[in-house]
Amino acid sequence: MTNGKKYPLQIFSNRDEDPDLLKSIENAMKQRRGYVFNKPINENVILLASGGLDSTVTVDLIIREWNVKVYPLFVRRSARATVFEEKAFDFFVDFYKKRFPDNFMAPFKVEIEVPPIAFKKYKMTNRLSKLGHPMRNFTLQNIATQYLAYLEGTKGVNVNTIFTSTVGDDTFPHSSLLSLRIENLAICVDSGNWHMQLTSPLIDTEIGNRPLFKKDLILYAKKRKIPLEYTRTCINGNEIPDGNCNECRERLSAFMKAGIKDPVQYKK
Amino acid sequence: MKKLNLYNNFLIKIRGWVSKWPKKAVFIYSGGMDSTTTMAKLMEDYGVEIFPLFINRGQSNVKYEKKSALYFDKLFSQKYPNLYHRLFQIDINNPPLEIKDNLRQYSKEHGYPLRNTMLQMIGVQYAVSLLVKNEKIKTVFCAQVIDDPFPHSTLSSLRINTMNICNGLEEWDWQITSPNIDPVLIKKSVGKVELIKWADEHGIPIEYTRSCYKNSPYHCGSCLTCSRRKIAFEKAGLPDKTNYQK
Repeated sequence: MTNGKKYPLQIFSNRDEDPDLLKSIENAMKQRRGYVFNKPINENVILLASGGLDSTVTVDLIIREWNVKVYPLFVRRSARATVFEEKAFDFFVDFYKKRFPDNFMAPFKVEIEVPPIAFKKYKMTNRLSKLGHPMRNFTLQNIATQYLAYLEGTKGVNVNTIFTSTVGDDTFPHSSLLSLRIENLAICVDSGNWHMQLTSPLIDTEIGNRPLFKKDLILYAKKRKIPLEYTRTCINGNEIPDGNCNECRERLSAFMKAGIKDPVQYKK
Repeated sequence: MKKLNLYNNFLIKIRGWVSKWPKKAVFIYSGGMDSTTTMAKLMEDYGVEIFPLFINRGQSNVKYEKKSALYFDKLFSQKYPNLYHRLFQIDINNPPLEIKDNLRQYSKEHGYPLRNTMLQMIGVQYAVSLLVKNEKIKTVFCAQVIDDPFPHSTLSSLRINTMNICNGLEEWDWQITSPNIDPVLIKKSVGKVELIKWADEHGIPIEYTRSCYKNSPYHCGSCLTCSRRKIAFEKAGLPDKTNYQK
């Protein structure tokens, strides 16, 4: 929070968040619908998937934990690495179709600039590294909400849950649990549908044994034989990951913490 | 009301205020009657410096909305040369085409899900992009009126979107609101009727604004937005000079 006050770490967060604010949002949800988050056991869920390590492992994890039917959504958002992210996404579509034929549903792709390219031209690198592209995650989550209406309205598929794959190590302010709760409230208010839930199954403390960190996902992937060498993390526009951008460095650090060598071939 | 208080209290706890009049604002502009009049009112009555943003979001009537927006862009740049910045236009499908094509029926009952929220976020992105021009803008205005029917047009929606954006950017001086329905900014909510009367009193030629959804040079006179426009003129007791299809 920006009011300068330091709060005791009573809640999990990567930010110094005021637990009372989180509680007030959660109470509002409880009052209105009786719960903050319900595990979607045997239900349909939308997963925002990017071809990255986190969302790739999340597919396996949520299917095994809750036997959900996953409707993966990939957004071609005109990022430098989109083409390589999509290649990774496609690889894991095939992989999970074979592994979970009854649970992994047809993928859906949409194309939209997030943020619009006209606004991406500014070069405020400090701001970018601290905050990320403004409203990027929210925009993606809103698109997932629009996809939910599409599935319901045109395919008769009832979906109440949208998952992102925010992990405990994510640093941007829009990656916090409070942020996800506010966005959940926002989509309920805006759609008038109070059954909708939006969260990350990796950090939501309503689920036991959370948060999970990248290191945990890497260990999980090893146990479940998920070929992480086909995931895409690097945000730069070259096929071979540079090993040097923030995302690559976080990934390499997580592999080190897990005590496993990253199978990805990096640029020398 | 209870929920609205919750959002207001949330904002007060963090920053000490809910909404306040800004000096400068990005304005989501569609070329419609509400946004045209609201924008003029902001400059005329409140002296707000306006950075208008027109979003080609794939709407069927975009040609005619844009025509209206460009007409008023020229008019306002002459009428308010010190407050009005020229129109910034951007093309972005909202919702994405792959989804939208199958949601037309749904949208008649519910509106496109989160459409306004997405437009407001694009407004924020525009405001952030203006930082390189040393324009520090933390307000995005839209022109919701009290008679708007969809859930994403409510004050609750605007408040929670403000919270969302402040939290997401970790900058708690942002506000997303409509000066027509925000009770912190104005004493009495404003609807279409009041806007029509205001435009009449201030010589704003709102017959050149565009309401009709259809891809036709004329207003059809029968779609939902045309009907609401006609009724508002009747209630205002003023002649409706809109070019309706005979």
